[in-house]
Amino acid sequence: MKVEADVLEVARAASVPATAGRGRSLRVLLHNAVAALAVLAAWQVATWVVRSVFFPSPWQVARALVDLGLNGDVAGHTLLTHMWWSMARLAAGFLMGVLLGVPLGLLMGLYKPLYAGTRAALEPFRFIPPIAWIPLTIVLLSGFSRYVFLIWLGAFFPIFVATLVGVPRVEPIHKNVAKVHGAGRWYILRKVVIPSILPDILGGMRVGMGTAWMTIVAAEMSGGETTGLGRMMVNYAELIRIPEIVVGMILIGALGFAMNEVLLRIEQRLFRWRWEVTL
Amino acid sequence: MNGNVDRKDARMTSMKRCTVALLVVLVALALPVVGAAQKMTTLRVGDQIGSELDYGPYWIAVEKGYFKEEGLTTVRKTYPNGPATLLDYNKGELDAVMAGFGPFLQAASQGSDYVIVSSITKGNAPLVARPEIRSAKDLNGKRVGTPGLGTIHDTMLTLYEREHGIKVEHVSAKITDLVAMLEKSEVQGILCWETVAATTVRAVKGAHYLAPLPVIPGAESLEVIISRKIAQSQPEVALGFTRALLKGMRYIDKHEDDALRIIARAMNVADALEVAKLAKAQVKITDPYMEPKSAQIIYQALVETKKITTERVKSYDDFMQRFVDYSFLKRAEESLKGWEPKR
Repeated sequence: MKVEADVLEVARAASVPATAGRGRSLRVLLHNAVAALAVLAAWQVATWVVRSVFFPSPWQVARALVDLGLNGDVAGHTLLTHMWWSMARLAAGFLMGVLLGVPLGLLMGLYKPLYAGTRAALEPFRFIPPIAWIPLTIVLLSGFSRYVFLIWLGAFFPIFVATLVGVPRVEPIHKNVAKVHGAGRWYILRKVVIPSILPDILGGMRVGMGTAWMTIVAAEMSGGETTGLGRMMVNYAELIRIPEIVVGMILIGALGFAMNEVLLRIEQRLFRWRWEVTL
Repeated sequence: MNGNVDRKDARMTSMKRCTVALLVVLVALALPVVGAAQKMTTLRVGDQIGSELDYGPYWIAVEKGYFKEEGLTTVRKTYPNGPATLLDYNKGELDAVMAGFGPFLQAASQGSDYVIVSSITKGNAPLVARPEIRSAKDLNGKRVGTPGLGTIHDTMLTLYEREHGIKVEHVSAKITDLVAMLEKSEVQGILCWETVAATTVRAVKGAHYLAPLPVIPGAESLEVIISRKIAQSQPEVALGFTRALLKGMRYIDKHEDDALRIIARAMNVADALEVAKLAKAQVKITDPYMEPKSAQIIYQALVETKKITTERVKSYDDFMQRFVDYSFLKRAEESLKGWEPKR
């Protein structure tokens, strides 16, 4: 009787009315808006405390954003051009990170001797920050390929490691059930292993996305191209115009946040069961 | 027995006297040294990578002890370019800065305050090109590297384009990376400061000076500033610093070969002397006064390219009036009448 009541309770909780869901979304939105306003207020207070002509107020930054949006930068590039190039470089490098990180992580996770035999050659690269590669890439690569390589370096390892450590966590019982029913290796890989480690892969991708953004900005700052948000920020740093630099920072934060939200939504949709665990 | 004790006492007394006398002598000798050390003022000076020749007078002043003569010691801090140096200056991390005229104008237009006490370099904006580029027209539509959008060199490239009726893509990068970029044709030319240009000509096969000098005759390049606080509260420090640099300039003028050797030592790179000799033709480091015509052209170019706004610095004359103070230089010149730099 007790069990039945519990089950009914759970079922009731699961079928939350649409209006309640909307109400919760509005509340979350409101909380976020308040948090953002608090950050703005703290920033404004900081400008009063610091009182430096080089520490811009939110209002000065907003003005710089409008000016950049309407008139472009001093080099004649629009804000959209800078955003587009940063995103294009990031997308290419990140995609390469996924395309190489996931299969390699799977392969090494499934064939332990392969990982054990190559670990000493592979792992040290993980600890070399992508930024440390910049001087070498200037000598070896040019233009787009330089940025893609650096972003790939940034994104690859989080994705690779997440996949690698995900494989041993696949429930043996799932594999065994499939085997008992006559499933082959390829079938088990497609239908058991990959679906089981997808949450880990997506988690790795979210971490990789953050690293990729950090890398792209540092890479663009190193120079060689005229566009990109990192480049725009350096240009304004050289003109000692801080509000425009902060505009670049805010845009990077906003774009990174938006991309992370996309991945988060995918994760929430694909692995709803994970998100329903609460205390 | 008593006699022994007396002799012992006498010996002890004489030893004590000797020790006291020695101590007195040591203290007497140490006092001026301590006094001098206490009087020494430390100045934190900012400059840029690979610019030892451009700031030659500074290095000569260090090497020949001209700063010490003025009761000054300098602590050098190096930055990738002028604007980066000025950002740190604005935080109060530096007392004096040597950098390009352009960055100084930009900083002033953003609210920075300083006093230009002397010009230090003119010219210093050679255009080095790959072997296949033989004329300005060949550069049309090509990529040309500069050490940054905010540097005087980027402005000089704009003026070069105007002069020759061409359009190039300005590619900004760290100055030391420009050499590698030219070598692998990522850019077809670079417009940068010496001695990086000379190093490039020597290191990259076929690279040559397409335009050794800027398009404006006697183009103003680098200045020396001191913080207004020091200029007002410690004018003797500002005077001493300016005088030491002026002595450095006079030394270069009088003993160029030896000066180049000193600068080459400061460069601390292979073939430094050859590089310094090659680079010297592109720079003038012996004139402490700003070249007004070129300075005005540079100011105008910066306004036109929107690199500076006219909100805080209304005009070129306004800038010269508020930020340039030759009084220290004039006093230094006055005090150095008849002074000859010795090797």
